[in-house]
Amino acid sequence: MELSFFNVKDGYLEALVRGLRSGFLSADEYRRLAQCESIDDMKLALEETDYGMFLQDEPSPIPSTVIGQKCREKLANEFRHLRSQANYPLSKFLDFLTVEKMIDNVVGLIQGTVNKKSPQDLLGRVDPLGWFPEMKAIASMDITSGYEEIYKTLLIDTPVGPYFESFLKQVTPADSESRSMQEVASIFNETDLELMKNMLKKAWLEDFNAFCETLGGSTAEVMGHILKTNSDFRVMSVTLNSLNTMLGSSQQLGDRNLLYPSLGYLYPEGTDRIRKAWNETTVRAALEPYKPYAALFDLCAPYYSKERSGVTDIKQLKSLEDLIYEKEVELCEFAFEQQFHYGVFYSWVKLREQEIRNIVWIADMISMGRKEHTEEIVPIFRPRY
Amino acid sequence: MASSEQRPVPSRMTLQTMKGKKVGASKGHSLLKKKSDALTVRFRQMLKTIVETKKAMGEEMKTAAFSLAKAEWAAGNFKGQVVESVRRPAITLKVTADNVAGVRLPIFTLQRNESLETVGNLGVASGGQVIMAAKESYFKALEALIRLASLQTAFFTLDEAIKITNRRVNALESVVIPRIEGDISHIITELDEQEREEFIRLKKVQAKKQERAAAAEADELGEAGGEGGAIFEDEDDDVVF
Repeated sequence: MELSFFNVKDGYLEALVRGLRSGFLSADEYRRLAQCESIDDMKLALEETDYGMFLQDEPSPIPSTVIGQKCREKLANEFRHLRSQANYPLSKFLDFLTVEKMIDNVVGLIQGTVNKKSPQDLLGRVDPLGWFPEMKAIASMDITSGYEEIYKTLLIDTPVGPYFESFLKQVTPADSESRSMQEVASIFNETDLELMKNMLKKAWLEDFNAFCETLGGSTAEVMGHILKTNSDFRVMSVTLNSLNTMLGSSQQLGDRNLLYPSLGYLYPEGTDRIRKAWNETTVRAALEPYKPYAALFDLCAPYYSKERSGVTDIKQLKSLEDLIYEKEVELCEFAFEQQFHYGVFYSWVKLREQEIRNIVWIADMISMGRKEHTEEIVPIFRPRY
Repeated sequence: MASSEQRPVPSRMTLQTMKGKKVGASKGHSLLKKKSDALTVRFRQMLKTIVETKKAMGEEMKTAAFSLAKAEWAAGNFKGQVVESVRRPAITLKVTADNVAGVRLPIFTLQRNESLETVGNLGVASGGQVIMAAKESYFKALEALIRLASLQTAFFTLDEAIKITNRRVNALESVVIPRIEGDISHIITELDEQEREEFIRLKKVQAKKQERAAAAEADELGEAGGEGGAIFEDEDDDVVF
């Protein structure tokens, strides 16, 4: 059924994405970028690729952050092109992709607004992929009028409202049905915004997964695999990153455990085991039955161990993020191997994000004059032999 | 010389004070010389450490910038979050003073208040530890920077102090002491001159006295045999031979 009807609605867009797939920078192009002497050279080199003239209006000393922002804008433009032609359920699927960025943006805006930053500044920094019109309302809201305003704006006006709802439910006692404004205010004050962001993302991940399952077919299969692996990565990442920090201490394990998504291959037994882990050895033991993850942990464990010796070593060590990026790219590349599913859209966005990271990294290294490190990127669709 | 116009009054008392001044000046000169030497020794040492620290700092800064790039690679752009969560400074500077041969050199020391640091849970889902590593390497770079600032300020202060001391040493050596010496020799010559004058005067007086004494003697002699003489004389006019 899927085979016969997929193309009726989504064939054109899938074709578009597969066309965009050939726009990823090739190994040759990366090499050319890595050989540039300056950012201006890089700009020229990028002009020959799919990125084209996207930097042409920028005044000459371009900081790498601007390059990143411009790349993201380009991605957002292409994405919006796809989105405008999609119809349900692909449209909803694409919306899910933007929600992740929206969460980032909203949290960033809240933080900025609480600290009384100017709205222009804040809006200039948001990720264009997660842009939505109500953002202006958050940036320019008047927090002196109390938290009621924030609460209303967040819950009613934004697409991330439902996740905030579930977040609030989690942090407030279940019986208090009518949450008073005081409580909401204290939540915003007391909760670490970073934790809040991650809880929102967790809610999103679970929601996204549930949606993919309702779609069924190869979409559910491909996306299920990607999202499950991603949430496992998330579990590992949160665990490792909270090692030797406040969050990893025994008093706050509860807070940390709230961040673990309730899906993935680790869930529920593995997550349960990790919940109880508090240092490298216990985490290692918790991961023991899950060979691929244990191997991943072993690869990056030296980076996280307390007895890190010397600064020079750190450069050679790989952090978990490096490894996760590699795995993610692999996952997303495989999504292109199947046809007639939505995974390619997700994969395309994720791969483009990785490509942007690569470009920014190369730009950073070039402007720092450390070209020997330009190789440390994760190439996308690298030739396999 | 300008001082020649206002030469001191040549007297034994001024000579005495002048000599006292000279002793004072040469004492001061040797003390200042010692101070300047001490400062220069310190200065040289400092120069060495400054060069070393500068090199080290260059290295630290590079590492820090690199680790920041690494953190951005792992955690995306988190600068905004860091900037917005800062409330009170976690790192402050304390200024104490060191004393080298009477010159006060400022020393900056870094004070870190861990409880005020804000990055706490930043990037907990991606790159938290990398951000921490970046923070640590920036902290190291900052330490090096402050060390260098401390040295550099001390360096300038010392430089100034050495210049002043050397100027004083030189002034004492080539202006004040020669002038005092000139004055002293002037007074001595002047006094000698006076002495000689006195001597001549005394001699003169003596000569006068002797003359007078001789004259008196001659008078006495004249008086003794002069009776006849006088008579002679008296009769001189009348006596016509």
